[in-house]
Amino acid sequence: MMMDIYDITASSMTAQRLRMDTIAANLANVNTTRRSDGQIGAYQRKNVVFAPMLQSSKDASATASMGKESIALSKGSNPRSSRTLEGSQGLGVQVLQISTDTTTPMRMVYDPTHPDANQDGFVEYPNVNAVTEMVDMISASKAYEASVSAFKSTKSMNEATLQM
Amino acid sequence: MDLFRSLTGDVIAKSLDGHLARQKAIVSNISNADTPNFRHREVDFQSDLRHAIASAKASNAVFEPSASNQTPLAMQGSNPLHFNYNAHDSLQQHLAQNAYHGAEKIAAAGITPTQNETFKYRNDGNGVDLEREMVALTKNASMFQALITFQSRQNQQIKGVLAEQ
Repeated sequence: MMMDIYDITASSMTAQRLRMDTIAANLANVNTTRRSDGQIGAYQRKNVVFAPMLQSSKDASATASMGKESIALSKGSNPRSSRTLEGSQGLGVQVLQISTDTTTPMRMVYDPTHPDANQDGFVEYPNVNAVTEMVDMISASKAYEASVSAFKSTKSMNEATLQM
Repeated sequence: MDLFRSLTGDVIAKSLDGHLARQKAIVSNISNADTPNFRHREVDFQSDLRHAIASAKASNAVFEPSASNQTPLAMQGSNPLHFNYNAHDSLQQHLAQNAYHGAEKIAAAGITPTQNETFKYRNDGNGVDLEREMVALTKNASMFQALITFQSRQNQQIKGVLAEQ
């Protein structure tokens, strides 16, 4: 059981690191106006999507019932404020996908001298906002630190048990 | 009186299980601090354990001297200040009063994980307050350490008794 807890913290650290990588990619491409094949097309901001993950993927029935519960909840059919869970499965976290942000508008900058400027003289720059990315970065870093603390705390519990 | 099995030992073992389950819930909460629509989880074992301890204490046997203990040659005391003359019976009585019968009651005490369905800490539906979780994490680990320390003191006592003088 102690080992499960380690797995949960590990899943969180992996997820937060991937989020950090994504933020780094966004910041690195803040002025990228072309795609990797050299064609004109500004970089689009990437986002990670987190979802809870049952630690043992073997237990498919538990995952299935979890899905049903969340549907029931969204309909508001469960009036109780708290629900007793079956068993004590811990939930790790996983990155479902890295989505592309298509809702934030691209940054249009008037610069007719730029080789990628359109007929009106505007250059399409990526929809990356450096401030948003920095705030996200701090959030990811704090979440990572919290996981490390959780790991250390569990480890000290484990060591104490062995010394009993 | 049993040297190795006691109410204290069983309660500590059950509490350690409970704290471990709670640690898992806290770690799940921390891991999902940024997951949309994740609901806060917690584990309660203390209320159930409290009832189990009470019923384990109540189940201690009441001593009744059996006929076989009443030997015809039992020593008679002539003065109430004499030492306990019916030594065998009083020892039995002492043992019966201090006997421990509640092991299965303590073992049956439940550890209940619950999930708070309504509390939302953020607009994305996430119900985890990271600061509160970090405090709970420290509290839980400290309690766990305290229980371990207590149990190892008990073990030290037994070792001390068993050690050759």
